[in-house]
Amino acid sequence: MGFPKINAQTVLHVATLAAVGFALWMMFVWVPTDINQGVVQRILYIHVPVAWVSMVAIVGVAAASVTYLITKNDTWDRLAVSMAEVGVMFGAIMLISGMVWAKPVWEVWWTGEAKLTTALILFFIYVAYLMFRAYFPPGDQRMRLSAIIAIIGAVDTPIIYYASVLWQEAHPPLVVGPIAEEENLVAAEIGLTLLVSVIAFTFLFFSLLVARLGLARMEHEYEVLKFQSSRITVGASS
Amino acid sequence: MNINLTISMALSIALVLVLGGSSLVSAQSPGVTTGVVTEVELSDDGALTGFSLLTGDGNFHRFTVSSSNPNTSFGLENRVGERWVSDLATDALEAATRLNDQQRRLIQVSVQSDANGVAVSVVQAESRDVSANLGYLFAVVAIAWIGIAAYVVYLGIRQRNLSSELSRLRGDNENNES
Repeated sequence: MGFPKINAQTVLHVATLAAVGFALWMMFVWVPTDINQGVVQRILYIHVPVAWVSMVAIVGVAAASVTYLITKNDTWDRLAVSMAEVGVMFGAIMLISGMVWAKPVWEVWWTGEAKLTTALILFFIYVAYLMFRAYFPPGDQRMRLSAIIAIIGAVDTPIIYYASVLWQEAHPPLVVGPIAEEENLVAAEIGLTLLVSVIAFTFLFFSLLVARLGLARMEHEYEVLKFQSSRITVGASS
Repeated sequence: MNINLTISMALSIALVLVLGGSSLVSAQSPGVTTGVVTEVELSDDGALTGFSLLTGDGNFHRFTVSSSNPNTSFGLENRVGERWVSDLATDALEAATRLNDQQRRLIQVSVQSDANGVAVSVVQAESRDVSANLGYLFAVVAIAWIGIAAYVVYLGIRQRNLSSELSRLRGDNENNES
């Protein structure tokens, strides 16, 4: 009995599992309860990481789309659509977790302020991109047009990031990152837990992306075989 | 690989439920006293120097405040729900005003104190209570992990369906070519 074959995907999935497990331990056991919001503040460790990966995804979709337009290589198109699908799932979790967090803290599920509205627009951009791909016939034109939609959609990402700085409303200001002001920085334990959680969710994103890319390759092969099948059928009948 | 991922996600959900339960116990701090403010002590210039609480068991607890080591921190809401977050060193006068407001409105506050009876933090009782708003946290955790697990299952189903379609198409093409 030999050792099972270990490939890069398996290593990624195991690393994801370990990172997520460690992040869960930190966010529910290690980090102290916030003095102001109480236990509900722990939503931060899910809400911010999923917001991060959904923004990374749309930037990735745009980058892959630009590369596709330059190289005309289908692989980049498959990477873009895979990122968009995983991104829309994280985008939905970002919106729902934000709404559930807002209810006990702001007493409302939703407000029309800039940060929330631009995040909702990001979600709609993802959905529009995927709907376009679902309903437009496969081919070069679909890949080209969807790439353009993705590039336009990526403009929303910096607006979301800077929204709480540009329009100071109910959403808290940035607590981490290069433009966060010193007075808004979170406590060391909270910052460390948030960092670990962001890393864990980034691993999870890439794990799901790899799985979705495998599916995208199969979809591509299916379209090629279907095309060949129709040609053989047409050739045989003529 | 998708089945492995599904199992991984299921284990993660189980982990979060187990760890979530244990955190409720560990987060309870023995140095926290909750009650209504019965007396607010002020210095000659109106700054807060101490206060007393009446707890649910009928006992009074007196606390002093400090502007350094520890610098007593506050997280108190006014009548319209606006939260004031500050500390004694920053604004001792506002701290007195806010505590007086809590006393008038009979709002419960939770005080975390050190061994010498010096208040480390004074916050609205509701938000300090670990069980308060737990449902919201549970909802977010459940939605996030059920959503991710559902997506993994969805990927697995699509992959299985595509695999069978690919096999069928390959077979059809081979038959047609021959």
